[in-house]
Amino acid sequence: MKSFVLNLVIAVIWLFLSKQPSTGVFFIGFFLGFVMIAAFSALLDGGDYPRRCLAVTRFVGMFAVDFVKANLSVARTVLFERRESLHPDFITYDISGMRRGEILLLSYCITLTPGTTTVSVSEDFRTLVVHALDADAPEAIRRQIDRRLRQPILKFTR
Amino acid sequence: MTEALTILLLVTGTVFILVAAIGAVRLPDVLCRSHAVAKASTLGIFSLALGLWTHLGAESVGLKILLTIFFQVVTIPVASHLISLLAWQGEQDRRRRAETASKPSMRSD
Repeated sequence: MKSFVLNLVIAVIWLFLSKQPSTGVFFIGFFLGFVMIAAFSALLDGGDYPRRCLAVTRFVGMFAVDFVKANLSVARTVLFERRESLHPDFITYDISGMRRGEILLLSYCITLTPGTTTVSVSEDFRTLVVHALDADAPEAIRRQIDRRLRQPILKFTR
Repeated sequence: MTEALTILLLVTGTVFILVAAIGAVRLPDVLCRSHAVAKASTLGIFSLALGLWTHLGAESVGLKILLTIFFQVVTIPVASHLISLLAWQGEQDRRRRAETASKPSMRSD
């Protein structure tokens, strides 16, 4: 977190130093700041900032693909499937051991990925109730959430 | 080139918002409808805003459009989550898997 703020500060300083400030210049500054921090990460006590940054980038990329896929599948369901062929139901997902912020992020991502929306979090923050459009194979849905969302999120929050 | 891209983005966005609207009518219960509305309208607004961005050019609007998209992505899932939470807690009519196999009519449980 500290390293991220430092990175932003470097980007803003770069913006002030440039002749014509613009969006592109800001991103160049941000990138240069990232390279700088990555190069001197042994001296700054920012920990594993570069690794986390890369993990976030990879997650965002993967998530964008999932998000577009989700929309195509919703469009297909809405336009072409008959009501009777839907099998909606609730499934539970185990989130014990995750921090509050991670649960928040995970529930956002579940809402935006194919076939599932978050409905509720239990009082003790241990299970997540998820509504699935096609709940014929709850185990497969759990595994998919595990592989495509939970593990990538944990990679950059820890 | 930019014009074609703008048109493409605007048409895509409109189509997805239309899909969200059709979904709100066609799907059987509140929770299924929230699927359609949450996903399709997010992407719809997303690509409408991107279309505006390519039309105006990055110089004149800068990061404002990206900020708009960010706020949309942050708020729409919250709204959908609240609606489905209410539908789950309240005794709303809803469709479950076990019932759809035998009889397709809706029932509250």
